[in-house]
Amino acid sequence: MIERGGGVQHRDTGPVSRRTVVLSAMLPGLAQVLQGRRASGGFVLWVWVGSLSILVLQWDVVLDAPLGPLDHKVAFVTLLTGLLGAWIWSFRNLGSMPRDPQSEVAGTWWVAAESFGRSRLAVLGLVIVGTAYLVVLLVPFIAPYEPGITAGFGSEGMLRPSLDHPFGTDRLARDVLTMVLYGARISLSIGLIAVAISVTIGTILGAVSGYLGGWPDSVIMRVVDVVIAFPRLVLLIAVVALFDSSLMLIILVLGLTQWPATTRLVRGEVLSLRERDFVQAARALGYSRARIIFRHIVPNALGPVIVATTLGIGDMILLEAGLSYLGLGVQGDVPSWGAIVADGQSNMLNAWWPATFAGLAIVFTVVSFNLVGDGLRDALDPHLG
Amino acid sequence: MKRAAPREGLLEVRDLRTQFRTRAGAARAVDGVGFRVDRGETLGLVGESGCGKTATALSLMALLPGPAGEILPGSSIRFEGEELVGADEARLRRMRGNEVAMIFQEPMTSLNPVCSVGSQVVEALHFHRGLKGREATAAAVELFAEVRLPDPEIRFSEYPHQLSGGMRQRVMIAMALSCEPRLLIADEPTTALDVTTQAQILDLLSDLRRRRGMAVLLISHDLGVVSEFCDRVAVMYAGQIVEEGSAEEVIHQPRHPYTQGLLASLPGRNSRGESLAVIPGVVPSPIRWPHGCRFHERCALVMDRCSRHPPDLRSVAGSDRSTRCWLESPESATAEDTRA
Repeated sequence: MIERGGGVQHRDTGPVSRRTVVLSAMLPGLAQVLQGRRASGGFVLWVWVGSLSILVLQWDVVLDAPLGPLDHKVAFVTLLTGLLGAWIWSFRNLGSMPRDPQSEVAGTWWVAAESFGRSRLAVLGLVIVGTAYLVVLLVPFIAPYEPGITAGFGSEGMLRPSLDHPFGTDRLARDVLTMVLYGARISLSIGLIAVAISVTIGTILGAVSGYLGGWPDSVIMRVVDVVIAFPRLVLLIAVVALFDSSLMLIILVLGLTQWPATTRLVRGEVLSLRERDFVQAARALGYSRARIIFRHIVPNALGPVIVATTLGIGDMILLEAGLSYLGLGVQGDVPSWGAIVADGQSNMLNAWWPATFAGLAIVFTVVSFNLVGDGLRDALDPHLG
Repeated sequence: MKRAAPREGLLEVRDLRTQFRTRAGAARAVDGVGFRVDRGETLGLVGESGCGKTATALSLMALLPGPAGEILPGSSIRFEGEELVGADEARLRRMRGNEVAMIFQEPMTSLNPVCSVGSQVVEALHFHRGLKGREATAAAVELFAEVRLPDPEIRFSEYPHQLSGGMRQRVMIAMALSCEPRLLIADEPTTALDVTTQAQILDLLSDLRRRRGMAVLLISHDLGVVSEFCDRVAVMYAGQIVEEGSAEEVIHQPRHPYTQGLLASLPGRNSRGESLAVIPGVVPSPIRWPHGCRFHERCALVMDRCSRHPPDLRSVAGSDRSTRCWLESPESATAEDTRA
């Protein structure tokens, strides 16, 4: 999946044939796939083909995008980045030979990346997750219909999956595929932002607590105990009942209740890391506490944190789906996946498609995140643990 | 105790007592150690494992693992005349790395595994000398060349796990040199290395010392290493210095039975095929040092009074050395003995 980029001084560069250059200009990534770098070459090829088909199929929409609403602008930039990125990557890597693990000069992270790449399931998970986030960015170009548009109430409601509506329509005659694609935006951003908040807080508190020990440690860990002991669902229901349940509020509540797990994890890591010789050596060089904690200890504790992050995003998506199912989720014109399931399950016997497709989207995403998390754990543990 | 020195040395340690609180009781790892290191001089601190060498070094750097480890009041560590015991953390941090640097026994684990070795030296250069960007990189490569790391430009972007033990120790030395310290504490810098690398590293250290006029405190359990490298030697046993003098004198005419035992246990050219001499027993526990002379239980020349009265560190008449043994002062010992 990931290979070493720039900064490599000694890499064999063989002669590049004219055919390879033409091939790379037409289909970036293919040359690398043929050379044996299937994962990275394949992904670039996939980005190229995908972006190009969007460009061709949605030509009018794409052309209007730079002047359109914000999400169209974002999608436009993403598309251009994808196309140019695939091209540039392909040419920069043209001359390089397939990797020879013996001769490669690689850091710990690269060793881990290589080990990650050996697990097919993990790479598959990463491709699905990567694609999911690309979809989130590109959704205005991909979705077959505008979101929130109901076509002829009653007449086109509850249509079975067909060529016009691959996932069918719901009782309000909304296209389910469009709803699922736009719902990804809510579910995936909730997962990402809430976990980013919780991991940031958790890592800082855990590192400080583990390194300093003494009373700061006691205070932080007692707070952790309290937050963990508090039933989160009850808190969420209370907060949502008190305030309007906006997207930001849900993200904040999820993020601010998730951090204790990360704190405990990081604290444990730091407790063992601070006894290591290189920390002693850093102290002997007169480095300040903050520098030792954040430049020398935290990067070494990141392995398990990254694993927890990936697994946490899956948890967050599930939790948000559960909240929406209870009717406490994000209220807005575009429903999240959980809300689609909740809305669809009442008609499950007449129309199985809305709940099923939204449910499948949840399952695929969460499973993919778990695959990536497991792959990362296997890759990072022996090297950084 | 040592008499006051006529001129102030670079580092002057007097009556250093360091204690670790453990569940079994307080362990006096260092118990009244005093020595002096002059500018540009090399002092070797020798002794078996567990006799307090490393605890002494950590006390000097104020890096004792707190809160269990502490320097007891009454101790004195003066660096260029300035008292460091009881100094505040900011002052101590300025001392570490800037004035005194330390290299450790295990080069395998003393470098941060997730940063390239170049970036670690650059960080030290930035922190201590404020160098940035290309300037810092150039200075780091220069340091790598100075510590004779082969292919410094290539090594610069490599990670610790890609280097051999000897190369890592060179990187550690480069980091220590980055701040141009006046005193380098080397805690068993060659113990984890094989013999040829050991010789190269020692060679490098003595070369750097000469060129930079830097004083070195070399801690080792290997009298052979110390005798080659040091001007003076202090032999430590059970938290105390038992013999001190010029390296040549201590090695060739050891006066303390412990030093004699250490020397006898060195594998020598003439003893091929014979089993090595050993000092019987082990270093006693720092929680309960033996009564009297701390070495008496293992000493071949033990006398009656040894188990009853602790001897003082006394200068040997007519020389610059001192030793802590009753054999050196039979008259006073007899006098005390009769008094007791």
